[in-house]
Amino acid sequence: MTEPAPAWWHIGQNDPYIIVPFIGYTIAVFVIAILSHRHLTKANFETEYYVGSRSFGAWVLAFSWVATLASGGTFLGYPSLVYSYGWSVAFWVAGSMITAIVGLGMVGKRINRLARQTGALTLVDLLRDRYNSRAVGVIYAVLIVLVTSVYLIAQFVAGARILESMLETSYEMGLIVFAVSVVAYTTYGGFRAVAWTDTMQGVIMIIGIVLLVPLALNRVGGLENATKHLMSRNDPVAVEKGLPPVKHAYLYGPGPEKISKKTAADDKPLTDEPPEQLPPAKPNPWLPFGVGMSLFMLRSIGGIVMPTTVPRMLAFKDTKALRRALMLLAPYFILMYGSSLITMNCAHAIGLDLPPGDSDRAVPELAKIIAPPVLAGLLIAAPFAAVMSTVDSALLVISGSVVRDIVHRTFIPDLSQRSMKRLIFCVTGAAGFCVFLAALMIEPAHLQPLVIHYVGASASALFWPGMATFYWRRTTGHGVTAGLAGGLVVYLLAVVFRPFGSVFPMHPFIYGFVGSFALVILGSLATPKQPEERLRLYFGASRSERGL
Amino acid sequence: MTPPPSDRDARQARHFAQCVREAKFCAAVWIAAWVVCATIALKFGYLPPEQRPDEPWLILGMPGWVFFGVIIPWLILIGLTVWFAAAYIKDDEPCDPFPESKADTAAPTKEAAHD
Repeated sequence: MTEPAPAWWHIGQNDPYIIVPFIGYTIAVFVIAILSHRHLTKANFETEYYVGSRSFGAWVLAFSWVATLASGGTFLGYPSLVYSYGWSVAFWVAGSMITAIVGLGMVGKRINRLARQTGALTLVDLLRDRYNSRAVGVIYAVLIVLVTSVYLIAQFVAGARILESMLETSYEMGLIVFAVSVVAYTTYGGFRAVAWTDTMQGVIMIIGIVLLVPLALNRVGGLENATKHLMSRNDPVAVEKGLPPVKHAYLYGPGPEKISKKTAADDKPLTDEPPEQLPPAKPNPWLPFGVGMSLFMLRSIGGIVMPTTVPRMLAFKDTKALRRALMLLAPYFILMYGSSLITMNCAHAIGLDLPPGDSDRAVPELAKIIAPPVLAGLLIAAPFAAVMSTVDSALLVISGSVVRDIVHRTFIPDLSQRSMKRLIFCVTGAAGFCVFLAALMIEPAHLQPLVIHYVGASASALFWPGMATFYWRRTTGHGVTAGLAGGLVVYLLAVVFRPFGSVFPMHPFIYGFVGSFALVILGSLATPKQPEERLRLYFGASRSERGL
Repeated sequence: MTPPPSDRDARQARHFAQCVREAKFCAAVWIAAWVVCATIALKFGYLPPEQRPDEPWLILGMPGWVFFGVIIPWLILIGLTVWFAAAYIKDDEPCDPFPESKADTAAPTKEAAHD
């Protein structure tokens, strides 16, 4: 009997080529935190802690934004999808082509200016001030804490898994070390430490993933050979379910059969009927067209008002930084996703043969086959960097929402700076501890579904209230409150009930997105308009007042 | 009664109008990219199995629908994003803090007026 293959997080054990660059990377993170802390002691504490004194240039804005957007799922979950479903994943990821221009270009300048004018340090500040409404602030902050916490659990698990391997220790010890280190440098260094480390992490991530492309193409003798190999590949899940083979399933949508992680108990027939008398299995392809279309929307607009990325828009120093950041980011996404698309479509032809449902270790296993050891070290550091950059931003968002948006601005307006520092430390630690406990108890099988739910819930609940606040004079606090709460509720209901799932399946986000839009409009039109003097602060004189 | 608009109101109106122009451009690009990608994917990438050719059309080693429906639009968008950032986004005028705000002055905008 052959021994089971080790999980992907065990590939680096005892290998100095992998451990040394990894330790070097970790030391660099803490040096950055110490340097950032000096700024905290010199500048206004709150402005420095939450938005880095609004002083960030193009490089920090671009790379910290993209590193926060990319999580462990980008470097493990997405390549796993390409490995499992071939070229059909191209439509799944296509929405990323406009993430940069829509994510930063649509709202970045407007948010940054309004934040400067109002003194807002968080997005919640901006909404609360526009409507002068505590309810809006509290609901928005609570929503942010809820969706971000769920997201953090998956990221903690991924970080702990990597440390488990590096330190040759237990999962629990890996989790403790990961939680303590990331909470420590986030709390100590604040937003500047997070943004600076994110910048470094963004660079590491792209180098690691792009370098795999020439190695894979060289090994397989060109992309055409790899694709031709996929043409002749049989879908193992369809074979297992007894379905007839689908011609070129890995080259066309909706792709091969969807893989689900099943336990041995799930495989047992529910009746005593012999297998040949059971009804034939129904095809369940992984990406129906409607789901692909809705994910295009989700991937493209998800970054606009995502709680973890918005703080960057409050922190850049001027429009020039925004423009240069957009130029830097323009090719980043195709490098990041295109590289994995090419590399993982070569994986089968190279000989990587993982069982269905075990594809999360496709990248490290492929690296072990085709990459020299030093590059393998970088490839392990890349997903870890992605995880860390996401976790630190999320922790900062949670502490900001609780301390500033709920405690300080709602209940204790005269909170002293010293008390605030202590409270931030306690809340960040408590958030880290709660997520740590959750990661001990709930260990998600795959990263990508949780990531997509985080983006889906955020976009459903937060997109239209945010856009309406920045661009529509007629919006009211009631409309925004209805859109926030209603968007999330509709999303959750759609996740549970999957309406029209058998007719035209779509991602549940579409229902939350449309529901939130309708509620913002109806709620605003049904309630009194804000005073014109107030609106002028945000929008200037109206066209009629300017005689246009 | 609402007082007449001030210079501050005029500056804010210009800023808002420019942001709306830029947001409309982004929205138009988003919709166009969505329509192009979805149309090509539906027409050529979601063929029923019986209509799929025995030898699929490959360009640079990838299926034709991926090349024309995803890669080419993506490359065009890279150029468009660079142009948008370099030429379409206008630098903002200096901004005034709101009267009741605690706006920080740590790094005030010092950009030249654009019009």
